[in-house]
Amino acid sequence: MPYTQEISRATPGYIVILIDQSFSMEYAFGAAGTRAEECSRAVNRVLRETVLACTDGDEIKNSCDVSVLGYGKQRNKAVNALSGNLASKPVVTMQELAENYIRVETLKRKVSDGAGGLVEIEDQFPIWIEPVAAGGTPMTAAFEMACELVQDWTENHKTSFPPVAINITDGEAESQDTAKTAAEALTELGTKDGKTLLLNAHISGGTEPEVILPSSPSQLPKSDSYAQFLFDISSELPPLMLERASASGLNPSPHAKGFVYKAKLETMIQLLEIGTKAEFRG
Amino acid sequence: MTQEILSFSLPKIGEEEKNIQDRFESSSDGSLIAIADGAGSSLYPRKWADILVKSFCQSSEDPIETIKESYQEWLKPLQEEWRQYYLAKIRAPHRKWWEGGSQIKDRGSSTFIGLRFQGLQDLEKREWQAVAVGDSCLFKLERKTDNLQVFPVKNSKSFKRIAKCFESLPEYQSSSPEFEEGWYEDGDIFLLATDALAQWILRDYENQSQEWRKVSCINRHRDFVNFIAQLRQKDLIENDDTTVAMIKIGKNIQVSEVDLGNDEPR
Repeated sequence: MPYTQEISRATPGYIVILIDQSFSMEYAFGAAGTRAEECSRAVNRVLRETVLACTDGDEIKNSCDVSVLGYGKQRNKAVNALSGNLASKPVVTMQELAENYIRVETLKRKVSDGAGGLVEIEDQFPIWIEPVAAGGTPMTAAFEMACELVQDWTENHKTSFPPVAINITDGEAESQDTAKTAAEALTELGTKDGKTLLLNAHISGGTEPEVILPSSPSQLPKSDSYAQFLFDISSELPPLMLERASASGLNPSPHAKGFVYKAKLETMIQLLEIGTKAEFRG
Repeated sequence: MTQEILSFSLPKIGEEEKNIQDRFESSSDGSLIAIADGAGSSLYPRKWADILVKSFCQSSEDPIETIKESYQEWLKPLQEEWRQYYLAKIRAPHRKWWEGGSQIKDRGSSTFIGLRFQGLQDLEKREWQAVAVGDSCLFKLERKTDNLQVFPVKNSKSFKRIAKCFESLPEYQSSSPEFEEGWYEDGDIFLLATDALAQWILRDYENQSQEWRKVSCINRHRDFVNFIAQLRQKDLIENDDTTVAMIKIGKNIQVSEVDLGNDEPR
């Protein structure tokens, strides 16, 4: 049965996050900050939680590799969105990610001391991705770069859980035809445990109704070819991701795709969590 | 009557022995034996599993009776011990950002199975009791009838990705344990196994194969390592920390224990 391999040091997983960094990401995201700000905040949070999922409290286990690609700032190109020591490493281990960040933000919280009192501790939140909003939407280049990385990775991890690629975008691809071809090439790659999964989060600061994990084109806005394009290139969610989606209150149908359209902030975060937590069985 | 207790443990492929999250303990008189399987996705699972098995086996009173009366009350001092361990970790100076968990990863989880023998020195009252939460299992092979009794999981298809657990903080609801009991005689063999091996034994038994019996014939750690390695190679067993404790009931057998990596009885 596919999509059942455990994530471990022996069979690590691979998460590829693609972030639209086009100029429209400067627009507001509902009542929150800009799309770029909220997107980078969400991705930083997900990266933090992925590292924490790979530790038992004392030691980090390299049981998952990560890539974060940005597209928009450079014409017709996608780039490694990680910077500093990781700028030259498009695929990083958990250890490398944990030890190399731009800066740390801290937040205090209180925990029980077990005797009726509270102890104040400081949680640290590393920042790896800063908000960027410039240029067009070369989604084809992003999928092509992801394809190269995934091809290399799957050749060396033939028995692992397949790679999970999550694309976050607010606009339309510069060329839907070439983007579709590149996305299909990406999802043709895989391991013995299944094909690469591609999840798409289309975000919007507007008031149009969201489409969440649709299983049929009939659930998309009528005559919306962009929605149809993203639906077509999104993967059906395997059982453990359907479980995760149900656990987060989303109620997906059996053939639901990993796709949210005109998504609000919370829905984008839910899709990110479905794509990055389900494999860890937690 | 005396008994022989043997215990073997092997980490999952890719991990070192120091990272094994299965724990085993037995009391000095052999009347209490326990294993626990810390959940890798939780916080300090190894420490929590260790607290569980040690507390059970170091009890001066009948721990199964205590757990039956209220497993929450039995857990309280154990949870307090884990909490103090956790607080020391998160208040340590120069703590790295990923050490000590997070707001949502703030407790340990573990399966648990404890076994108690009554009447080891008394021919009249040879009873055993067991308590279990999760998918670590007890197998009792009766010498006279050759029956295999299994507790608590009855079917190899029933092993789930996320098992029921005891949680290391009272703020989180621990699953209620199950209880079983019975009689034992000379020649009976008890096995306590964590889920990977337990599922394989059960599946092999359901398929009417006799391979599972080989487990009770293992006397040395290197034989255990080879046995599990072969199962892993043939993809017959999940890649997981694998632990078994064997208790052989018999006459004139010294209570002995073989430690991990040490082939000589202590």
